[in-house]
Amino acid sequence: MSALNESWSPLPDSEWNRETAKHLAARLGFSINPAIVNRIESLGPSGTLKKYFSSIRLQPVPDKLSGMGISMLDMQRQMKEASPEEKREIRQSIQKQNRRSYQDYAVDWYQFAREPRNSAQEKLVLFFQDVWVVAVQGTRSTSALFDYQNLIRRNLGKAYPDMCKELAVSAAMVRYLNLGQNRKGSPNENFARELFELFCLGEGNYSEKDIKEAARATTGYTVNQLDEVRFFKKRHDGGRKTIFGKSGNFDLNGVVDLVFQQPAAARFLPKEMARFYLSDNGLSDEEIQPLADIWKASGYSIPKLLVTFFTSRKFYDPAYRGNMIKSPVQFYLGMLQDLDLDVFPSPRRCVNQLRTMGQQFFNPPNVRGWVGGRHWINSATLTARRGLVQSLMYPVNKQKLNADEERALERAQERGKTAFTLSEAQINSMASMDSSQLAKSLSARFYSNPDPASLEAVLQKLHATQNGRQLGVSCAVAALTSPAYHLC
Amino acid sequence: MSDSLNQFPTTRREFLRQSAGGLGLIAFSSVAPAFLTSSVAAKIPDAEKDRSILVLIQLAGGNDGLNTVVPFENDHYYRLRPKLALQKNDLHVVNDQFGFHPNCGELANLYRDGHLAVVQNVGYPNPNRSHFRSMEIWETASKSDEYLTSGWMGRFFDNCCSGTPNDDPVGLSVGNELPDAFVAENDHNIFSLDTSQGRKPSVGENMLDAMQTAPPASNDNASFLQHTLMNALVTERRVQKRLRRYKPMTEYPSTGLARKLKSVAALIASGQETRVYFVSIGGFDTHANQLQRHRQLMAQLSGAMAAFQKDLEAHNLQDQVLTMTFSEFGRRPSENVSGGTDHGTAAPLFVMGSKLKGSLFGSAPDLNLKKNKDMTYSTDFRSVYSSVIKKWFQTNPEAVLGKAFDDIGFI
Repeated sequence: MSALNESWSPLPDSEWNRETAKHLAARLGFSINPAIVNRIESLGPSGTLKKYFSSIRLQPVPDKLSGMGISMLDMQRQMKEASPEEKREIRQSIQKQNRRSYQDYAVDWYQFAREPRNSAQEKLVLFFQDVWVVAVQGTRSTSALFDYQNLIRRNLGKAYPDMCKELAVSAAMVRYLNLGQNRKGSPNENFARELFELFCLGEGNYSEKDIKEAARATTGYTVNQLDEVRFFKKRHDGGRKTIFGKSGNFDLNGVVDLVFQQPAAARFLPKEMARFYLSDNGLSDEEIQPLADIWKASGYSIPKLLVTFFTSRKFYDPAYRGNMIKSPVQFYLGMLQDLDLDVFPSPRRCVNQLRTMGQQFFNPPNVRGWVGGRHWINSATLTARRGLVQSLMYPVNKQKLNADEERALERAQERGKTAFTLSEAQINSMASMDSSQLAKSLSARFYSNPDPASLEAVLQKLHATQNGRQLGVSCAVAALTSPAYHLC
Repeated sequence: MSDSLNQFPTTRREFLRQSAGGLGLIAFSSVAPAFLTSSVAAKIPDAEKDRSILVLIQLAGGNDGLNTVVPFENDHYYRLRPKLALQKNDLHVVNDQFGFHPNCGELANLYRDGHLAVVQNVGYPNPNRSHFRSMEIWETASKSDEYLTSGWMGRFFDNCCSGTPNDDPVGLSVGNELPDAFVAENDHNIFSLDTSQGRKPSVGENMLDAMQTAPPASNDNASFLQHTLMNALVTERRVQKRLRRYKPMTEYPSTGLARKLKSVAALIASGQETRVYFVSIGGFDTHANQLQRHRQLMAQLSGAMAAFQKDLEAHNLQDQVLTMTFSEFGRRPSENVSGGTDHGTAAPLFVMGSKLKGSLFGSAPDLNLKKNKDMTYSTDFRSVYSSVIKKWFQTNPEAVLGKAFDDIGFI
């Protein structure tokens, strides 16, 4: 028992070094770029957590979303006096705005998350999005998705039950899990089931009757076209319910409170966190229990969970280093940070590449979220990952851009974002080093688990047949498509 | 071919031949490709040489359909396009309604011979004018307001094709990007051809050679990655070999699209079991000074498609291959003030092959439109897909497209 408790106690200072700092950089954020690791190493584990989580940064409103509320309001007003034909047109125009702004938002998010000071926060947002899943399919409103993400950010400093109560009645969630169709007399169990199964407790920790009763308790909410969520007493079932053996006139908040009285609730989120940040295999109940106890004692404080988790001996256990398969987002944003490149501001490039790698923005396959781990890797996704690497090797061919992309490129350049592909200097420096030296340098820089010998074997072959720019490009491609680069 | 290119076996037979030379050990290493580690007793089915093959040509940027297949009898066309309209005398007239673009002589001839069909005015309801989104709609075959995570060809693979990682790829894209159309729910051997290295061995081939001496992986996931990557690299090696050995039986123009289609012809002629090839040509977003740019594009498209078809015929493979073009949208009937056209809606697409039943399908667009208004599609692109899946691939289109669409009848 004491050994298990010990595992969640802070890492002794004597074990804080370059390697442990690298591990924290790779898992907390996206990249082990030396500049990032330097900063983390000098801050120490708790200093790093403090730096990245003490203040919350909200994502600025994307261009195509700003003002959309107003035009929606206009359209809503027009809608009232419109003929059926006109109503159809207005509805289509709303849909169109949603789609365009979705792409815009996605590109902006990649840019936001790519900034190293935002990366830890945004990876955490991604984690909560993967627990409290909503998807563009089923939500039908870009601004609702945008608000949802900001709601997650605003709650990062609070207790998890409070976050749950707020996310539950967000426009995105009310639509996605049909809470709007859940009313007195005709309950819809979708939300209640996922609240127990996927958001808070896990399978086996509730009965079908608990779900039925919880569905009654969560009745009464609606969402309108302007993404306003309202509670109507008339639609709410105020009667007596029995959930987890307790009886009362529970409402939604009451159900959430009951959930967090269950022993499984203290283990659930820490386990999800271990699966997301530590190991595809996750941790057992026994391993997680001491952390669950600490977390529960803190009143389910999210900051407490983060600090305990990321400063613990367990987190830095050598068994967990350099062996997680990178998600597409980690691979993409990490590579940009590794190479000091900016997000290419076109959906065709970034949004599409993420999609073919298997992780489309706000669009997981189902309410379970992404499976992750080895499921990220197959011949098609490896092909897509290689395609992404190749696309960073050659300057952008302006001839091949369409007009939207040209404009987006100009806008990004005005904001000082100009490095979208490897510079000639970067490529030349790779072509000019001998293969052993280059393998050591790239392996140390790019790989969580350095493997210079394997890389050198490839680089030697490339040196024997190629030269000049092509050699530089090939070396970079080899380093960034090697098995070692898919791990963090 | 130098020995270095042949060091690593890509088939079981090669492996057996070479294993005396010291490669035998690889079979026991954790990174050995699937064809070596799978049971020796497993029966390898003979290649089916008569499978139907589809070649998709993506015209990225939004091809101007009205100046590709030109309705020279339509006064509205000349009214809406005072500067950009093409004159009857310059066209390759094929019937009393329309003619092909002046640089599409080869396509006009194929049309006259019954080897090229035009499906007119193809689009979908509630058209989207964003390049990215509309291309996504075409590639995933979704409704305009629906976001699907898989592509239409990917769902076809899910329904028709299962295999081991070391079979030939079911879908192959020429170029580095993986098309949305190939994204599937299940795991298939999907491949994109690295065209960046010219005739030199690709980075992947060098990696494959180097992996022979790779030290054992340091953990389970590393070993899984090595294994999966090696499977992909073995496929790549095999594909590259076939490309190097190919002797085309016709001369291809020296354009990007022609080079890509030549690679496709090479792989088809080699007996590779790929069902769908995907090639892309960009530059169709002609907002300004359209005439000249579109001329070049039309010449490239026409020359490359015709050479490809001729090569297939010379190899007697024409009955096995269907080629189809598509673009995310057509362009606005009204020209803009910059000598170009803006994003529009429907457009014609081409289907090429020796087994076509007819040349002209669908109805021509109604151009009786006010300035800057868009055409309304008359043939849903999903009925084109549906016909291909049902008639060409003999597969149930509902499984791929979610519901039934009218058969257009071109096959």
